[in-house]
Amino acid sequence: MISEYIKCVTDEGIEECISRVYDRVTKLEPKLHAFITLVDKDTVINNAKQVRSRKLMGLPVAVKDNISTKGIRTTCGSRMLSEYVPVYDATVIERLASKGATILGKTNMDEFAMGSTTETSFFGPSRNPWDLTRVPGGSSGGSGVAIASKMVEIALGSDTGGSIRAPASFNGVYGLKPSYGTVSRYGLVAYANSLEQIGPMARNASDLKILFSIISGFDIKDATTVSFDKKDDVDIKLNGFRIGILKDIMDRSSPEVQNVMSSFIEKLSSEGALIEEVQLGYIDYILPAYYIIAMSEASSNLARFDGVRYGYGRYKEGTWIQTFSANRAEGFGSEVKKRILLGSFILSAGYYDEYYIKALKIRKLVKESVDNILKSHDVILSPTMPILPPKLGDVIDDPLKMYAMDLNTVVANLTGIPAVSVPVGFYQGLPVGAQFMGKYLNDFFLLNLVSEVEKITKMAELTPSI
Amino acid sequence: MDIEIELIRKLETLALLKLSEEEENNIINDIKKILDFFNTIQKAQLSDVEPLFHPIKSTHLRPDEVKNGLTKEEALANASSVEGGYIRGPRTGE
Repeated sequence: MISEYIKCVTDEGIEECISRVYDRVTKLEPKLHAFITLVDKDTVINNAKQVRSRKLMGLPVAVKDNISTKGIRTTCGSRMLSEYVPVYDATVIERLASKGATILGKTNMDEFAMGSTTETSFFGPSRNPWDLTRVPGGSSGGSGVAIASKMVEIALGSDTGGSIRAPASFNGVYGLKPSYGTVSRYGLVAYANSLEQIGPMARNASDLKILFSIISGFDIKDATTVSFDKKDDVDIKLNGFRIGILKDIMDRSSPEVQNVMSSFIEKLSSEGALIEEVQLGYIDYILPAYYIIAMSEASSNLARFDGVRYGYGRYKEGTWIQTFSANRAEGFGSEVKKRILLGSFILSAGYYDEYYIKALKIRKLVKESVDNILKSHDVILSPTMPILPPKLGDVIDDPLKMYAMDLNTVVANLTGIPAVSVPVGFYQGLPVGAQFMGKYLNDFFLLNLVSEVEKITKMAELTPSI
Repeated sequence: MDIEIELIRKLETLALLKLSEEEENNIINDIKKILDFFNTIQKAQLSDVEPLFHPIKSTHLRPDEVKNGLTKEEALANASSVEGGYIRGPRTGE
């Protein structure tokens, strides 16, 4: 908990508390590989001392490696940016610093956030602390691992189709994909602009809310940010709370996940929540539509990497076409190349209407369906992930198997609504998360609901023994 | 969908990504599978539906004020080749 760190600093001083963090990181990191880059201990201690008077008193945080950090290498899990050192901070980093947070390191991720297991990282996979033979989810896998293993209390992730919620679910922690436009994307290396948001990850509901309060808000540097009411004292009572359960999504989840979800639903019922099965519809179209949109935006966004202004630039001779093609061929890994090629195909003449526009129409239908359900329900509930964390290597060679893991999470990205993953139980030692989706801009409403849910599940500060 | 190697090569040209022959052979099967998966949406009834490009309706502009951009040193800091205070790029012609 953040409050534990504050107490530690007050009682024992910054040097002692941060040294303890480093002892834990040094012990666990060889087994888990949560980080791509760690800031050295003396620098973190010095930085923390400089902000001691602020709210977070130098609290070390982990930051996903696609968020720009001035002077700290930002690789996006790619060879393309393996030596890239940003000259500016993302807005979320400035906001964290202004409240007294210190960056401990940059966390491992699927290359350019393209993956659901952290296995597409150029730097090698992270491991799930609950079972080292399994994946931690992705793409913000390193952030999930760093908090689950209590190396840090809070971390930043980014979520394009579930990249915060998948690792939250697989690691037994909390993660919010905020409403689109509530958190500035300035300094987030773009993958699919219309889908993604930076968001908070934490070990309990209260810290999750603190981190979201700090990073959210209008930003002049991101034209898609919105002004919204940050009132966070919404009173939630589970008695009489109206929850719609997505039956078509539940039915497609594994028996193990359904089993844990059923017990959780019983708990909610016994608190007086009104639970009703609802159908999302369009269930076979959601994932292809999501991936068509994501790959189209990716092929356009990743056109900027040419190895000249920044990025992998081994080849310098020859024409610009030869040089760019050669640098991009060596700089990008296979999942990224696949998505760029498919995005180029979808956006090319003759296929744009056939794929891209149709996918956007399905997006519209999904949004109407979600809005409709939320007219008569306070939130929508489903498992966060349809399966338990797979073993390393189990899904990485079959793209459709990997994409299928995202079915429950992409809905919130397509529609822009907030969605939060909460740990609700274990199946044979592996954590299972539930996802609540709420109305657009009702992020604090969702976060307060999470606090109530935490009281009945008693699932906070879960730490595996490693 | 019938995907031939010529299509993959055309996409490589469009996307400026030169794949090795081995990579082309590996990627072609995945691309076939994924496009078959994408084709699922062809069954959807979409005639009266408007496309939704973006989750928010409007964006804001910042005031037209002069701000400091990157300094020259900052702009050159990550370039792979620098000459006389400029980024050195590849040739534009043969």
